[in-house]
Amino acid sequence: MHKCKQRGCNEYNNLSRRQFMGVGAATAAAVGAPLWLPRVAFADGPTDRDVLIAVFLRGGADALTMCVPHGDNHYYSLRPTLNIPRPDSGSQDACTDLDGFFGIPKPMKSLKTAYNQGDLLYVHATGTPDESRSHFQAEYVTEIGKELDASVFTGWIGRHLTSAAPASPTAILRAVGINSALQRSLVGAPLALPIPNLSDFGIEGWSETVDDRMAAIGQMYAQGPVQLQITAANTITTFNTINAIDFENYTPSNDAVYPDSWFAQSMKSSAALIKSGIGVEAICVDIGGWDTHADQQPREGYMADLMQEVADTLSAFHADMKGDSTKNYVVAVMSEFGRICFENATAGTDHGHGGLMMLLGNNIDGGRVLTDWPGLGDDELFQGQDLAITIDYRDILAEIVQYRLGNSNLTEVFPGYTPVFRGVTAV
Amino acid sequence: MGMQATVQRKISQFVRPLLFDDPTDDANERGNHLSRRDMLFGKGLGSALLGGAMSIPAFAEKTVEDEIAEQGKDAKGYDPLLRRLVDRCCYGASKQDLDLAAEMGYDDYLDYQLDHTNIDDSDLQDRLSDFVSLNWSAKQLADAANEGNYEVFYEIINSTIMRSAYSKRQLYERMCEFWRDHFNIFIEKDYMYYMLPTDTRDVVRKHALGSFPDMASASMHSPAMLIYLDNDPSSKEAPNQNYARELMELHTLGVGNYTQKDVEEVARCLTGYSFVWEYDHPNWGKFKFYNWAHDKKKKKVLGYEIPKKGGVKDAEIVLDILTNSPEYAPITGRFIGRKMANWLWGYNPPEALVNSIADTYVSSGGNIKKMIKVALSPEWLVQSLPKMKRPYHLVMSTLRMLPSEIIDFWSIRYTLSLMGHEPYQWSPPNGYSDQLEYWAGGLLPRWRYGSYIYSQNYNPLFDISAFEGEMDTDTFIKRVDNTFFGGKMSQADRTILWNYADESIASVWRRREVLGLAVSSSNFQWY
Repeated sequence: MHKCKQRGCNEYNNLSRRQFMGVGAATAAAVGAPLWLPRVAFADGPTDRDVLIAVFLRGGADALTMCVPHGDNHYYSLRPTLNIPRPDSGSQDACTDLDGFFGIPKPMKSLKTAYNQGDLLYVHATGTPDESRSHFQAEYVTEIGKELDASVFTGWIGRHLTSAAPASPTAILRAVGINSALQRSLVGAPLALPIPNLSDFGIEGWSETVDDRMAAIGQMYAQGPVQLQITAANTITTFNTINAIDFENYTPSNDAVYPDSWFAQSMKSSAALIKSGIGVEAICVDIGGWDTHADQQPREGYMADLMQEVADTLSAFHADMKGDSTKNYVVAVMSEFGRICFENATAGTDHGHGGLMMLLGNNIDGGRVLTDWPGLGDDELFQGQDLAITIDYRDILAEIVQYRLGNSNLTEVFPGYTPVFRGVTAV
Repeated sequence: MGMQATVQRKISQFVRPLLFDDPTDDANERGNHLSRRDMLFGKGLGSALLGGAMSIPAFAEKTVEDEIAEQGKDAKGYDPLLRRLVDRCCYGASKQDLDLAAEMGYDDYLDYQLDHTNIDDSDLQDRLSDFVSLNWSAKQLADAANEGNYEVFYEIINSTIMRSAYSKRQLYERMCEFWRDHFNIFIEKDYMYYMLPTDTRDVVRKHALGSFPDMASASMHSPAMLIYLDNDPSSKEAPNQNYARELMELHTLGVGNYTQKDVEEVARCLTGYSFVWEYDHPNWGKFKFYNWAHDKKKKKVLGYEIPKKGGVKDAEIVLDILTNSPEYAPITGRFIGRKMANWLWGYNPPEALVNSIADTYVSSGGNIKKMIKVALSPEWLVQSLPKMKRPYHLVMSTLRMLPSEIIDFWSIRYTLSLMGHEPYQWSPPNGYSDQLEYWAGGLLPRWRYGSYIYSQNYNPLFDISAFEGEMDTDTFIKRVDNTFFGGKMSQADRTILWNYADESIASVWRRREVLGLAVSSSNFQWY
């Protein structure tokens, strides 16, 4: 029964990891091109469209901590212990002022560079109209791009890609969800795949037979249950292309240093994917852990670390992308809701309403906080406890879809909603 | 992590599966939808891309009823409906499972599976004898950690795998998985490596085929749940709402059936629900109610007055309202019923089935066995369509169908994590999705899993001796068919695998690869 073990299976043992991972296509680099780039030349097509990277902070990120309204006195009475001190407080945890009213907490200070360069825009008191305070319903509503509707199951990015011509006519992969499963935002997109780890998209076994095995699998799926046919075909056509990019040896531009975390590595791989020019138009990346009901630790500790991971990653991504001026991009950071303005008795905050978006990109009219600040006074709070929403998140995304993703079919992307453009993109 | 698919009265209507599922519960519309889909997405698109033949009607589109109408008994002489029942009860229907069911008949087999304590499981018990910590308290586990013994922490995960793969009480184990998701707890949160084994034992496994109100009550008194959802430090000054909300949203009623005010009031009722904090105390980690932290004023929950000074009883009254009251038991029954039907019957269960399970919930006071009997009744099951195996199911079915011994658990956990489905690793409280749309996108990790089958780097040792030695390709493929497909392999798969196995370079390795391809195949992903 254990013959394989006893015989030693040298055929397999002697293979290097990369061979064992069975990348069928040759991965040698072209002369002159960076070593991590694939040998294959892709038709990138003339386009100045942005590549969209949608970052979802899962769990309901506390907007009042990430972009501190230090100019609103109510903030400090609502958050007697969980606040970020004023810029002039002299506290070692003081926030860094942005515009005299808002500030960024110390763990996110690295973002000041992108902000000062005009590439980072904060949008405050924004979100979805959903009032359920349920993670799952609020995420669903955010990601389908429509108010609660039983008949809609595709995501807003999915429908954008369906209703826009491919940026690259020859693209074999238009969207990637960096996850085990496709994020709801991407559902319905043509040529979209969930890929949990871009640098690990191989298949085990003997490298000599990878192509044969993939072909056999492809044939079986083509003739198997219809539900899996398209995904299987996409996976197979993408397989060699993704594997031809050496993500592990990708060198970021401008000596950008990404933190050592799953999220950071996902963003780093995303940068490599965009620069490889294979025609990917949208990438979804998630980072969880924002459901800070207890021991939130906004200054130092739990949430501070999480914020720093996001800030340092986005800063590295910003520097990295600066190194390739031909690649336009926009990172849209959002969450399903903000948190209740009152802190609870367990040093945390519960599910709230209005929240924060962050836009990072080379065509974003940044360096400011865009808001129609509703105030934090008793009679100003939504349902007496939350930051109210004065800018629908679709106003922001719709403008990006139209001006930066080249798609004016906004009724398709955000059905039933007439967005008001807020001037978030640089003209 | 992505998250999805709470199946509940409101949500189930809008969480519509990707390209595949039927957006209506009306069976008559199913046919229309399929043909519409076929036009939209082009049946055989995959074939066109891959240069294969036109796709043939795949079994995933046919109900058991269709199958019976077409062929009566299948090629192996099994009744297709009985086969579906075994598929729904077990992690992969092996020949032994099918033969046992055929011998007993439909009703007796279902009763046999439901009467799980009377199924002799001594083989599993022997296998579990190495797991020393399964009956330990949280304190004992914490003490072990203090002494540097971390091995025991994997026992909760490894024993879960062991039980799924080797227990004869298959339906019970499948229901344990169902409730594990329903009352999901993330093992990486503080203390969970000490607390979760207790929860698994005293909540999920104890009540998996018992009474739902009892299980929900056990969960409400489970330190693991109280810590996971932040109720343990909650006190009257400003109660933590996390558990209070999920108790209603995810465990009983479903979103939309309560207000924010109800969440706040339930949170007040739950203040003081915690555990013994003092580490030196022998009962460290056990449930404890702290009266000083409890809000003693009266409350109003879902229209019911909760009198003042009720103490620990407040939350118990709340649970009684949620699970037993005339107004809310039907709502909880529907919520649980829909999820259970989705688990046992199939995606997008008909409203009439959901109602029937909900009625049974109400009339039986939440008797889980009786609800399962409705979900798996032949009248309903005959209308069911195949479901896609979740990755855990895929792995367990391979372990069950190819005789196997688990040498070390690491490689199993590793492949499960590649597929995004390691037990206890889902961090949000809604549990792993049970929707096709969620799992259908990630195929490559499944193919990687298949390729492990013949790799010696993978350590559940599969006994593949039946596939080795001299035999002609026909015999070899027939064995593959019998082992993985119960003799129902599609003609297309047969041809493709036959050609692969029969290449002129055919070798032991080439044939081993066929086993991996069988596990990777589209048809093996369904049950």
